[in-house]
Amino acid sequence: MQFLTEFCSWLEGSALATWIAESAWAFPTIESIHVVAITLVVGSIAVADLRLLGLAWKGRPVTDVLHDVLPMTWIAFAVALTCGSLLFITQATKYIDNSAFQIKMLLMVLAGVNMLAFELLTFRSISKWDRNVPVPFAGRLAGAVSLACWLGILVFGRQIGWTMYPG
Amino acid sequence: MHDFAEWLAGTALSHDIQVAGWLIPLSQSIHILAIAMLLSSMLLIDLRILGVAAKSETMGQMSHRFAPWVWTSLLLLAVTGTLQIIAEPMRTLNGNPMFEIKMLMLAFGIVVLLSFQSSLRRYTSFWDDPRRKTLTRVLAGSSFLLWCAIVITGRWIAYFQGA
Repeated sequence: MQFLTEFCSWLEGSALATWIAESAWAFPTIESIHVVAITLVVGSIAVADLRLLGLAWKGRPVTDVLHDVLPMTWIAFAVALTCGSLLFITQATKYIDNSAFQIKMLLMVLAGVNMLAFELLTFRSISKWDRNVPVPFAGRLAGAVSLACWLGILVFGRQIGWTMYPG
Repeated sequence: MHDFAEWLAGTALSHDIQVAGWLIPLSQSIHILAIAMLLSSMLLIDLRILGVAAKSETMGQMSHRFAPWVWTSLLLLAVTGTLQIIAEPMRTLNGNPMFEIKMLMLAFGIVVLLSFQSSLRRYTSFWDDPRRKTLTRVLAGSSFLLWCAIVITGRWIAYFQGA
């Protein structure tokens, strides 16, 4: 923990962090792009999750739905991660102490583990349930966990702003 | 507008929303979830027009699938947005330029959306006609950028103040 705090102080003191924090427009601009990107991550992944849960786009094969939305999810995620990191370094020591931030990070780890388990285990039998049959329980569970995690990430992300700078 | 904002800020309703500490964070959370629904649905329709995603679906099928999500999210955004205005009218209605630009673009975006849906009903083939590829792609791209701009100016409201 000592190391983490020192690392965060170092990030905060970097030239980049200082510039973002002191500029009148840099923080709001990066934050706006972060908002657009994160909403696209959550919205697009929700389409895939709802298909896995059998609640949407049932007539379209699972692999087609994943091909439609996942490139969009990954591009948006790369943008959100970059912008999010830039916002984080401006006040790194405060963010790691913020409980909304901590919950958000935990949910991101959980979403990542869930996605890996789905890719490496459940998805191997995709040819049996790609179309016209219900998705097996493990697939539906992956969809439910993913949806819950990402909705939580969006909500707790919004609350970071509320708890760090009320308003 | 200034008088109206002051009057609204003085109402019991505005006061009650502010005092109930959980209502604004809840409203903000629903607001951003609805933005996720709206932007992603719009992007999928626009990517279909751009020939990037869901190529095997017709425009009629795409609109039929995503239009309910678009209108549901717009309704949620209107309700939560109104709640946030009532709670803090001096932040938005008191001449905040970002709020005004956002509302103008929002009105324009809704007109564009209604025209899109009505064109889809009346001339179904327009959006699938390969001869009009350039026009439909430019329209899809600019419409998506317009909605991004609405979201971005929304975030900037917090950084601007009224006169």
